[in-house]
Amino acid sequence: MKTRGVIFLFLAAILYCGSGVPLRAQPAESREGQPLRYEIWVELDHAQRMLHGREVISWTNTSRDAVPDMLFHLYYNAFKNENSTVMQESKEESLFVRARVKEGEWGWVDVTKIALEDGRDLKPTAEFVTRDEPRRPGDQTVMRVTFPAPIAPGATVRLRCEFESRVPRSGMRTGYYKDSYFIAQWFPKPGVYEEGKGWNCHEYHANSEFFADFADFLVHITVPENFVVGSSGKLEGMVPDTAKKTATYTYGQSRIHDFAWTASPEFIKVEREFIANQEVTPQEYEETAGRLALPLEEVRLPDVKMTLLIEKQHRNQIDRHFKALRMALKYYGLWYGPYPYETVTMIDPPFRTGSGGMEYPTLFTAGTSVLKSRKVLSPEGVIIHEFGHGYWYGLAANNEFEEAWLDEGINTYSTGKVVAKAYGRGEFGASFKGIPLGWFLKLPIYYDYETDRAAAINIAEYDPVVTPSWKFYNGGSYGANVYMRASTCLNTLEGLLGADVMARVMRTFHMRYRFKHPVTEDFITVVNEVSGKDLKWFFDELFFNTLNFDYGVASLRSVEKPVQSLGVFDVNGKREEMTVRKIAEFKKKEKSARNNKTYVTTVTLRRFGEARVGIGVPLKVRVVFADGSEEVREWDGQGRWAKLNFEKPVKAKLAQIDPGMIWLIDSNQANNGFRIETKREGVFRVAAKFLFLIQNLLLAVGSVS
Amino acid sequence: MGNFKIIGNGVSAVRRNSGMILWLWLIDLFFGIIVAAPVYFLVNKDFGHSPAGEGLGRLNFIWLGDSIYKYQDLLPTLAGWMLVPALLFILISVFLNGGIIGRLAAGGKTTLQGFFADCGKYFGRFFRVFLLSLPVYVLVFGGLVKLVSVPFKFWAKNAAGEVPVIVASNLRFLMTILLLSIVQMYFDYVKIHLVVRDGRKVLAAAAAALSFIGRKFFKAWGLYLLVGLLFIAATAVFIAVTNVLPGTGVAALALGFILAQAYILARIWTKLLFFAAELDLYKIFRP
Repeated sequence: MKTRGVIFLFLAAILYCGSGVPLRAQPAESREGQPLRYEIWVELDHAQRMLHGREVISWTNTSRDAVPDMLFHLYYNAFKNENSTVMQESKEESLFVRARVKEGEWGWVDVTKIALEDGRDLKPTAEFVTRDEPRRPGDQTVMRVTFPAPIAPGATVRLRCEFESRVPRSGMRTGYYKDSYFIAQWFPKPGVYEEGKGWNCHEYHANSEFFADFADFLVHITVPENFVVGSSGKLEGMVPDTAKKTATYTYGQSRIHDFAWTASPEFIKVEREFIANQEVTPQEYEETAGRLALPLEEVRLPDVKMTLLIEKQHRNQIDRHFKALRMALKYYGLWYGPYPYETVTMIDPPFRTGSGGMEYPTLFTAGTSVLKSRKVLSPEGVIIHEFGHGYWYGLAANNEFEEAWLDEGINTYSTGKVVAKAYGRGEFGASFKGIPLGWFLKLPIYYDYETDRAAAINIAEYDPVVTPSWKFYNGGSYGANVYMRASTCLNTLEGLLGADVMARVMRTFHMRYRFKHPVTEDFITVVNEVSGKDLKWFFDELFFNTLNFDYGVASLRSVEKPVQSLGVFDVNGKREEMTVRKIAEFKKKEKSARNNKTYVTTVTLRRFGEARVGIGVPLKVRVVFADGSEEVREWDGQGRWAKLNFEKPVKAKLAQIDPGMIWLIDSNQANNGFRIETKREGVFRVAAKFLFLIQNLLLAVGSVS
Repeated sequence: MGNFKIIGNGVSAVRRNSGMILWLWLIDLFFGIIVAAPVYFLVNKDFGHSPAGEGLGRLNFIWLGDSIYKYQDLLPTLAGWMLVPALLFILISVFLNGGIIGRLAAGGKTTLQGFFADCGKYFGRFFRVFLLSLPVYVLVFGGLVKLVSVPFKFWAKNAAGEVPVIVASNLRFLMTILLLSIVQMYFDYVKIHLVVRDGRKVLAAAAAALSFIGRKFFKAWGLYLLVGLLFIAATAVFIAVTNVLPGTGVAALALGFILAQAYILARIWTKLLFFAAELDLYKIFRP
């Protein structure tokens, strides 16, 4: 704890307690001056599971519109009753586990006061609005207040707001269990004002995450004194109140768009430093700079303070957590851009708070269990993924409601690359009754892109990747499309562009849209600009449509080319018939015929799926012949099928389309190659395993007789 | 006589009747092939000519993804296809149990003729035992297991950490297995009673078996669990050996298949040992 911060907080607390007025009237002006600024005071009433809060919001209208109103997220109302959008959607999808709330466990937020800085009360104008289709009139997660007069372009409005929140028992991503709390989506938070369009402020949906504007935050959190607190932002000080047996922690952070915190007496707090010069070698810097075509200074990483709040039951995994975070800081930093904040806080989510595996600016939740195989890359994968959201969502802050792939898909792609680079293949994490099966069985090992693809190819025909989150066919389609299908498409794009060009695409996109709200078109623009190609077709086929991609080799035949043909021919003005006997005699005469055989090889290619490669982006076709020679040709892939013919003195033994497996998104890799000779070893192996399974099942069912 | 001695006698009895193991294995293999054959032809069609087929040695998510995509609509059909042989196999097992217990009870060496004669002789009685067992299984797993699970669930529900949840979950699983062992053991003795006494009245046999188990419960259950441990040990050895087998190569394939069938033979051997040991115990302590 820094001395200056403690003194400041101590004085501030005296002022605050004594006067009853806000600690700082103009909280964020001393910060970096974002158009949106918050100062929030919140006290956790542990006995009542309540949050008593007030906030000062300062918003500057940076648009050219006169803005008559303001829309707020009141997301705790998602857990208020069964009429909320999230509850309704959960029920419709039969997500009973999510939707099941027991007596006394509902959560809500009441805005008890909202007024302009001059005291004019806005509460009478407050109304709940539901604008997403289908309409759910019972939802209270978005509130609108109307100003006495529109906020002119360039003008700033300051609001004072007081709120009471009941923490849901264990909602989606927020909640409590026993003495532990994870508090997210908890304060009244304005939507994002979009010029010419108005406020972008969606309801809390079951299959969506969030969207908000960059802001400066100063948050004072009061909790019971024995609670360990972790929070977004940087700890600026802590003031104990021995009389009340509480402690007030103050956290501040500029240029973030959400704020979450956690408190529990069960946490162990561990702090370590990410020291860039110890993590990254000069050679790695040079390689990265060369690959990205950037000056060396632009790829250098800063030091970062890492904080881990981990449950006591997981204390033996502290090093695993930190190693994964260091890897994430290193590779996300090198590849996409230096981490711009001083701190990152990693939370091992409190038991049964439903808050694991979630990202917030400068803070994220991981998730592990007491029994973990070392070969299974969990919690590592979760840590890397959720930290990665600090880049894809935290910094390049797309609208997760409307285009979730931009963070989930890009981050799943990024996670796979970081995990592969840092750890290699991980073991499949199957368990039985909480006991890892990898302790007993030899489980498959895999790269993330393989499992991503397995999900991606099965979901292509449900929804386009670019679909508003709440409009997906179901949660499965949402998840598989925005995470795995998008990631698999990006891996495919990398195959098409090459790893270096793709690296420059990702870096350019990230840095260009850092602290902004990019949309899909921005990404496509960067892809085209950096690659120097027009790849709109790629996104049309794979992101905006529901087309299955499947090219394959339908058949491969090699037949001896006949030396003579049967039939009647005009030879020197006479009609002559070639018969089978004549051909045989001809062959006998030609002693060398045996040595001069020619084989005609025909490869039949098919486009089984609806998706097509772009014009001018042909598919490679590789044919391997019996003498080991190879020929590579191309097919434009536009038609439904094509035949390629080869004349060689030997037969073909193998034909492959897309032999480099560039098109990872191809839903049937098995038909991408055709071998003349049948090799059944693998088939026998699968059949033998299946037979063994069936024999055991039969003996098991027979035992009840 | 101690349980180890009884198991020793059982091992001798099974050794004398080892031909039965072979017949039972052939029947199991036959039914297995009936179910597995379509899968073989399906996989061969899609992977036989594909270079991807070479990767089928170890589970890999590229071909697994392909397979899920291709075969997901076939799963209900396959499940239906498996159901018929499974139900038939239950009936066949009822039939075969008569031969197993009949021949073990008779002592001496087993002939094929004698085996199938006993299969036929006891089929009707054993089928009625099977019918009687169904409501008992439903009662035990529908009610009793849930009932004994209550304290574990309560413990897990109020747990402050994961450990109690994992322990409770495993204890519930263990309780289920132990309850299953008691039910299976009980119906084994019903069948043994019918054979040893050559009785025809199933309900009377059920009552007699209940009385027998009531008198010698821990002795009988201990014996059952000891034989069960042999099965667990065989499974552990099988897993340990298969874990070190190479994933590719014809020799590894052949070795893997032989090991798998050896394991099936061990399972059948254990099944016979259950009956042989229980039969011995019953003969020693019968009223």
